[in-house]
Amino acid sequence: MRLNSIGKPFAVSALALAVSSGAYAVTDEDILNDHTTADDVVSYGMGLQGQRYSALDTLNADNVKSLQPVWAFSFGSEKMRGQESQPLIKDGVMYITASYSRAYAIDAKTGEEIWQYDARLPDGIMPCCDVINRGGALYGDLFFFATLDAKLVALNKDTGKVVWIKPVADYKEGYAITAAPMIVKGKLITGVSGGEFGIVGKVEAYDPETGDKLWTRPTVEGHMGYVYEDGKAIENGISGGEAGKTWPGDMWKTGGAATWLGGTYDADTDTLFFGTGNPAPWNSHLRPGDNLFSSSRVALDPDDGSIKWHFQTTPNDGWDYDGVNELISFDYEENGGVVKAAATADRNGFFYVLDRTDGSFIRGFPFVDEVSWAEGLDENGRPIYTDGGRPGNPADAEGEKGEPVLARPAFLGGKNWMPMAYSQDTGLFYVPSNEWAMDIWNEPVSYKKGAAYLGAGFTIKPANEDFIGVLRAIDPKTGEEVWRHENRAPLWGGVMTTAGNLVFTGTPEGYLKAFDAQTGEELYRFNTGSGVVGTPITWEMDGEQYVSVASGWGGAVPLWGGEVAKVVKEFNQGGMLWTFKLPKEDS
Amino acid sequence: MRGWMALGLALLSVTVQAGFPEDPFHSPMWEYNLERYLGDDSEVVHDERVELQVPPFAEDSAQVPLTLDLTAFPEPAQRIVTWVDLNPIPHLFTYEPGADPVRLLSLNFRVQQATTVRAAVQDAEGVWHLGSAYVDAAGGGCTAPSLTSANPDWEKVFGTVRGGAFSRAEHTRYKLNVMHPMDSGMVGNTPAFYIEQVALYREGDPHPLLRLELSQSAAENPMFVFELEQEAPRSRLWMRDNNGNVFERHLGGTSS
Repeated sequence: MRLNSIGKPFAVSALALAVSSGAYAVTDEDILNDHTTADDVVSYGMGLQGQRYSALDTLNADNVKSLQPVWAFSFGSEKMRGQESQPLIKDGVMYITASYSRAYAIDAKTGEEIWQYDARLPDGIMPCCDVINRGGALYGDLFFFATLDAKLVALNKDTGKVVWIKPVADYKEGYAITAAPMIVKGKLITGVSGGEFGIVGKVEAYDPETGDKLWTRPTVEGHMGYVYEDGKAIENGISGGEAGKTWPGDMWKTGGAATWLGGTYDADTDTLFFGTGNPAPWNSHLRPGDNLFSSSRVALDPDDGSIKWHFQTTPNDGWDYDGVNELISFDYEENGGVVKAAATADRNGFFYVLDRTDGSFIRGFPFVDEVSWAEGLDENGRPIYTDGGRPGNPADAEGEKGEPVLARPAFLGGKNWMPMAYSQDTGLFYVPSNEWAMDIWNEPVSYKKGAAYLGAGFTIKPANEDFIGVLRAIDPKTGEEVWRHENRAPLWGGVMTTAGNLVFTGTPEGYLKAFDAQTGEELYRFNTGSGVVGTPITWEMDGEQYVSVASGWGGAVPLWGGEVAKVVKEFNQGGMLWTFKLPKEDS
Repeated sequence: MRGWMALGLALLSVTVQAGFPEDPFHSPMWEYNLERYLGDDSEVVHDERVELQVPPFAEDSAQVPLTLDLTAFPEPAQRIVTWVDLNPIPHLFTYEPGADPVRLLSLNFRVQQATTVRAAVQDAEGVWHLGSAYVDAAGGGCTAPSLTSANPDWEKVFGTVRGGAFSRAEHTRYKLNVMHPMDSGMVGNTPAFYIEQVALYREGDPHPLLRLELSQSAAENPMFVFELEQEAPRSRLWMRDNNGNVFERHLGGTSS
């Protein structure tokens, strides 16, 4: 009785608190300035350009060795595997997603849960590459994320209650969504996954308040884009002009090119940049031609989804090089002028620097130790294919299986999904990369809705005995590898860099590590208990600098890694969120 | 100062405690749940005209029929709250009326162990009239996996609504069944996933004929029965679950 009565005033004040915290709405300005404000992280990429650079330097190369955990949070249940998420932080509350389409709000001071949302997923979901999720978006008083059954969910950021839920595509056809959506100019923007199932990739914009669709842009040539006005679809041009220019027959109808990693946005040029994945099926002999807009970077108008330009990294991709990697905008000075550039480190092993105003090629170079499938890039950035570098056509072989080839990098990529970072201080990109090769061969295949659409077999093998992962510092102006740090297991976590001359990333062995941004010297490591395949963030709260990262081994490597299993099979699953800061001097 | 406040609160709660009648079933949760669901300053009376029917023994602890018959209750219910005393989440549903009074409400629920079940009906004066019943059970209904979870194809029938509106002499009977796992969140690896809101609308009228708020004690694939004192209108059933899924069904005029 008494407890209950005394509890009443508490309940009232808790309500007042909830109401007042609701007043801290996230604005377009908060999101546009995310890269310059230290006290919040309100976008995937720590800024819409995706540089993952923080100007904070309280924590720096001199004192990082004293970094200590302040709290850890468990995502709970038995769904431990595959924590690839990046947290967001706003007004002392952390927002993060976890595997199996879960979302959490957590008190950033104490690590106590405020709310949790668990999507109930159908049994028939088809995530190709584990049950992961990479993060959410904040806008107004809503938190958004996307689910493995290809839905967008809007939650009240203060209560976790569902405001709306909308299917983006049909999961039964093989669609899923794992990337973080983003807010650009008041629109909620998302891509889709499913390139292994012959889906059609697309980028779509939604009204964050209502979930109404605003525009859709297919990323396979031949499909019509639409804008929506008052619930009516209005044609907005066929992607690529017409069908059949770079695809044979009807192959474009199931052409893949999934936009599965989400995008970045550059306010300077008012452009969305999305990477597009592999063309479907993997067997390239079934689809001679460039297969636009697969394995490309496409630049979109955020107002209506029109394609401004595209740059294709692997035309007629026959290796699942699936060039979906993030395109990061950055400026550099050359000959007294400023170059508005953008860079991307592709699964295919090449690093590209593009002019982000028109997509023209500035330079490109391999960022991995060896590339087998191409001898180099021509003056337009198009690969010069190696003779015999492509798996053989099954039609030319006796039996079902085409001639296998040993290709490098393996299809899991010179760099996979894990985002790199760009330091405005050093002018270097910090690239989480891997050294591996694969045997790959082609087989006949035909499309069947909801079934894997590959037409290829493969096995991955490490390229070296003692390491697979390499964290590299790369000079985008020269292609020089300024430093490297080798790791026994493949790197699968995102990177962050700070004005404190630091680079942070995690390893599958469980460590959160910090490096000297100039020299690559390892300055700090902390074992989080399970593989770190998430992306760290940093922010300032009450005058102190914090670092947070999710821990929980999983993702594509344990599922698809072939002989890499030798290195990773002992790694245990996790499912934790860790937060660190420097110890406070007792006053 | 602190001591004074605590004393004041304690005194207040003593007077409130005196306000509740004795529970004929002597449930250990009697006062706790009255306070929780009706408020500790509420006026409560036992009332036989609130006829709460449950089977004496729950053959299936995950599907126990509950019927609340208000035919004998002399005035329109302002609000109804039902709960299952010994369930982990006792609350079953809260009803809010529209223009037409409800005569009968029925819904199947789960029992975790043998327990008293309560229905509290608020009159126009704000007094709560309580009907109680006891159901014996082997138990486990709230923490057993749903039938849905054993069916990999559950999503094919998920959200399917069957039923309709049926005219009776002086009232309309709505009988509706929806396919939904109604997961309680207490089964390992299955998050809470249940219908939270139910509303019945007359076609073209934004004010609902009735509204229900459900909790996790409601059974899988729930069957709702409502009897309203009205001619059968063209109507629409609307439901929303805690994942944000919305289910709607249009119901015909005199039959369906």
